[in-house]
Amino acid sequence: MYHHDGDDVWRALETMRKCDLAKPYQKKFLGENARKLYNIDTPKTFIRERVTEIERPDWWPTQEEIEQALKPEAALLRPYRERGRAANGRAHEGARA
Amino acid sequence: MTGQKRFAVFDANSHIVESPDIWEKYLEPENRTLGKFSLWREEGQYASYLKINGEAYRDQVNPNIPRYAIWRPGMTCDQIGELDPDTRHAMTEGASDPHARLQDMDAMGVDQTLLYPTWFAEGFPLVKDPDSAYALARAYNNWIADFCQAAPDRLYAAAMIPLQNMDYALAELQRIATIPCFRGAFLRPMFIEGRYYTHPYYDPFWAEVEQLNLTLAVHPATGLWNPEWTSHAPFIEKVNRRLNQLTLLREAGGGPFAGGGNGANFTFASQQPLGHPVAPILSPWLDNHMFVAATLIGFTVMQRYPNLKVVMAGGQASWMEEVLEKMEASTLTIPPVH
Repeated sequence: MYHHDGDDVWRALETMRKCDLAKPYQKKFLGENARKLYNIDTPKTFIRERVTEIERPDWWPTQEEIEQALKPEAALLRPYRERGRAANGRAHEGARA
Repeated sequence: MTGQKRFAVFDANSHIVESPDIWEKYLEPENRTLGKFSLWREEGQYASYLKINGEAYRDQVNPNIPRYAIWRPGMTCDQIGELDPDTRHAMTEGASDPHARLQDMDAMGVDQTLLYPTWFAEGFPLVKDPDSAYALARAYNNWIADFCQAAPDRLYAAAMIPLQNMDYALAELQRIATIPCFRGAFLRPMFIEGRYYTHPYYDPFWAEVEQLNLTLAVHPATGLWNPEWTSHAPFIEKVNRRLNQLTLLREAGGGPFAGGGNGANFTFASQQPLGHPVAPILSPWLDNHMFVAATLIGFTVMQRYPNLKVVMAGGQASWMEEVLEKMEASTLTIPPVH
């Protein structure tokens, strides 16, 4: 999946700019070489501004719910049907609806 | 934090997690039973394992925290460490759903990406039956091609190639070369049926990849589900046994990266922790990179196929200077064999 040791582009840019790394090197560090090797065209449009509001489906947990779920006691409070979900998000057979 | 950028970013090493649809919909009906016998990932409530050639390799790390797909934009590493190890946590949706993936890419500032597999990286090269491998490769490649269709100018993929039979491998290479999302052929640095990439068996493969103007997408896998799968099996197996012995302290918390509990799937087979559990992840990684780089250069693959392009993903490049220096020094004292 996403390599979380790399975090995201914004943090990488921040670090490189702090170090005064020239822009051509920033581009190379962020995929320019690999794109050429894979014969992939540079997109005509690209992300320019950091996205702060991410559109999510209705079921997507809110920040408050995520923080609540991160607490150890959440394991005791969580309904059985949520605990019975597989890692792929699917309910297990036999789990109560 | 910086909030603007002025160029497009390409993530050359990102992974999907294979959907069960690959086996249940994309595999041809006549291949489903044997395909699932040859390679299958089970994500259960009480049992998670990778099955290869009919043998189940149970998770050695806490299956409640699917570390291969737990991170999502906005989540910190500390938050991963704080996750309750006794509660099953869902994978991030972007692992298998392209639309969620694109939203995550937007949030990360990633414009384009080349996608690698997860379970196919771990297990596919070990599939023994060439016919099953061919069917699984077609199913995976068709699934990931549909995945990439969600944004053809943003999502690209490395194709699975059934090297278990060179005729099948060449046929699949030619097929996927006509599908725009495929820019690379996945290659894992490891022995396949006892043959490493020094073997002339692979010459038609190098030639076809070069001819089709594809790129070798080289990506090691740690073989955490079975250390024998790495390039240096006996050594890595020994390291793994010595350093990856998990505790039975289910309440220790912290998950696999912090030596935490092993949830409901703890094993009695290993009891005394002798080292940090991250060690077996790190130990084969650079080893595999250096070994395959030295092979492709030293055994003249790059010389005989000069237009062959290789991308080595996930291992940095600081070691390359050491490899080249050692090779140069060795050629002074050891006569080249080729």
